Amino acid sequence: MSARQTIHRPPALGSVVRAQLRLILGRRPRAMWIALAIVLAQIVAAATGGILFGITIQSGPDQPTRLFFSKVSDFAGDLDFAIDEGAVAVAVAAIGAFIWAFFWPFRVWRGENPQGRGYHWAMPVGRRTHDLLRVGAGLALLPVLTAILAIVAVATAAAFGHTAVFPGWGVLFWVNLFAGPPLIYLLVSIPVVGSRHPSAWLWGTLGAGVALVSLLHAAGLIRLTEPLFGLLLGRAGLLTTLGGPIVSEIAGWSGRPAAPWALAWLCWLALAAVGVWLAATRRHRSI
Amino acid sequence: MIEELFQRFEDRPVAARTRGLCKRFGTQTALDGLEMTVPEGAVYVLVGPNGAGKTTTLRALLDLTVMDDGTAEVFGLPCVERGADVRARIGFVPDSQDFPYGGLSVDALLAHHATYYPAWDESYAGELGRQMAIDGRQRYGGLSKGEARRVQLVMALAHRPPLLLMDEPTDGLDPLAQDRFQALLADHLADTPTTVLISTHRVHEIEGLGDCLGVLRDGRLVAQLERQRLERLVRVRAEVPEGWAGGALLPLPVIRRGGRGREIAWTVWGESAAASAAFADAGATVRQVERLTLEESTRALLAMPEAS
Repeated sequence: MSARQTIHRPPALGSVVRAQLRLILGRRPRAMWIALAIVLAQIVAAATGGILFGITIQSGPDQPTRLFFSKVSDFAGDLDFAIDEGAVAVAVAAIGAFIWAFFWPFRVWRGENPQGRGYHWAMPVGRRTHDLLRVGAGLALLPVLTAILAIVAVATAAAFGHTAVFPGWGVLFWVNLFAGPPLIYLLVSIPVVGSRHPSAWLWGTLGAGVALVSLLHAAGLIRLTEPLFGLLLGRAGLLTTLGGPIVSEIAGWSGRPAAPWALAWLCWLALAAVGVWLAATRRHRSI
Repeated sequence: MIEELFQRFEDRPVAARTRGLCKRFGTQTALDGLEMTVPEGAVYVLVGPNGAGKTTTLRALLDLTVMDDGTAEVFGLPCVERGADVRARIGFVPDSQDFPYGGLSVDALLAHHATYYPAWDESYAGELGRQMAIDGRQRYGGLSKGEARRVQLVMALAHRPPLLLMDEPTDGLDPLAQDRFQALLADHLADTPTTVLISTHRVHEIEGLGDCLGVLRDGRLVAQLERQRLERLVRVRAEVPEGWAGGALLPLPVIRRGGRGREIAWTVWGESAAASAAFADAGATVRQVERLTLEESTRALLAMPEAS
């Protein structure tokens, strides 16, 4: 091989990661994604304010109708759920982050045709490595978004004088806030990376699950749905794991041991990571 | 098969080679044991009708398509096992217009592309952009087919790859842009030692470029030879007597039979003088013996009967 050819070598992986990050962030983010981010932030802010302080519409002959947050409803009425209002504020941020994490893989792979990522695969990087670097770049950006949503929620609460949102929660509460989105992101990334029809697979799987449960219920075979519900809502179920300490805090289950949740989360995360790895490995994904 | 129609280039360094490459898409066979050798420094024109397997061959070299059987290598590197190293040595102009990142400006797309090639020559990219009249501020997705093609050419050439793969490179280019493309490629080849593999079915558009020809039919190469050897492919126009059966007696391989009635126009493999003499000996009155253009040669070879 000639000396000339030795300068034609694959790029350093660090350069590829930086290129992927730039590509995901985009120099011209689409209006849809900007709008979604604004809407999510508004929902978080409004929901936080509403939940923490209630919403009052005040009007009178001397003043125009005004809508503002005031401490009218604090969930301490007849039904006392022992809800930590600060926890609810961050839970709202978590829901926002979960929703974002669900759609984030589609943003990460924006512009790449799932029918055949010819350009992406033609780059001088190992195909699996390249796919995983793209997924990893998206994953690295998720905590930033989650932090923004959390800051919006906490700042909104603080703006209305609810300073008690800061102290008193265990570390796991915050860990949960940042642990849930990556899990959702990786799970959704599996069909996005490995399938030619990711949306069809994603919605098809969800739809098929709902249809199956409905059919089994209609047929009186409720017991057969238990494994599915166990998978989602059992002690180590997916939704239980996603909810984790946040739900426990809200429901006043602070005494629950953290280790099983952490273990369940790690198991789900490992499962999702293996799924992404396999999706990136599938050799039949050719064009 | 006529042995002389298939050169193996065993005496020359090889830039790209496939051995027994097979690919099926469902019931369709795209490649059927393809044996192709692209000598280093050649401009190899791979021709064939639509669906002959040209694009699949290029994709095999880039490891974009998983093959059912056979191997492919570039500069001695196996394309599957050393895919990244192989692709680092390749500049690729795809046939598809389905190019990603339409939201990026041309400059941003080129900057992104450059990240992947340590050998990227920024000043050369700028020079190519000027020659191809590319406006870097335009959004890539808003470009016309021809404009997008020009950007793809810059992306393929600016890191001065040792091997250039071009799939229907003139597709979408207007006649002026085609001329510009040919001039640009000629300049590039003069500056940079490069092996070029061009896949096309529009041979006339690259008539002046190729020095090696591969003719692909039904997933197999029916001919692979240097262009100068094509001089032995001649068309003989002759007048023959009623009920002429001398064709069967010709000592030259007949590639294609044409003409009407007593006026025949046959393409044969041989020297002009020998062809003329052979037809005369067989009782025909030779009117003209002519060499074929690259496109005419391609057509003749594509129409060549299997038994030849």
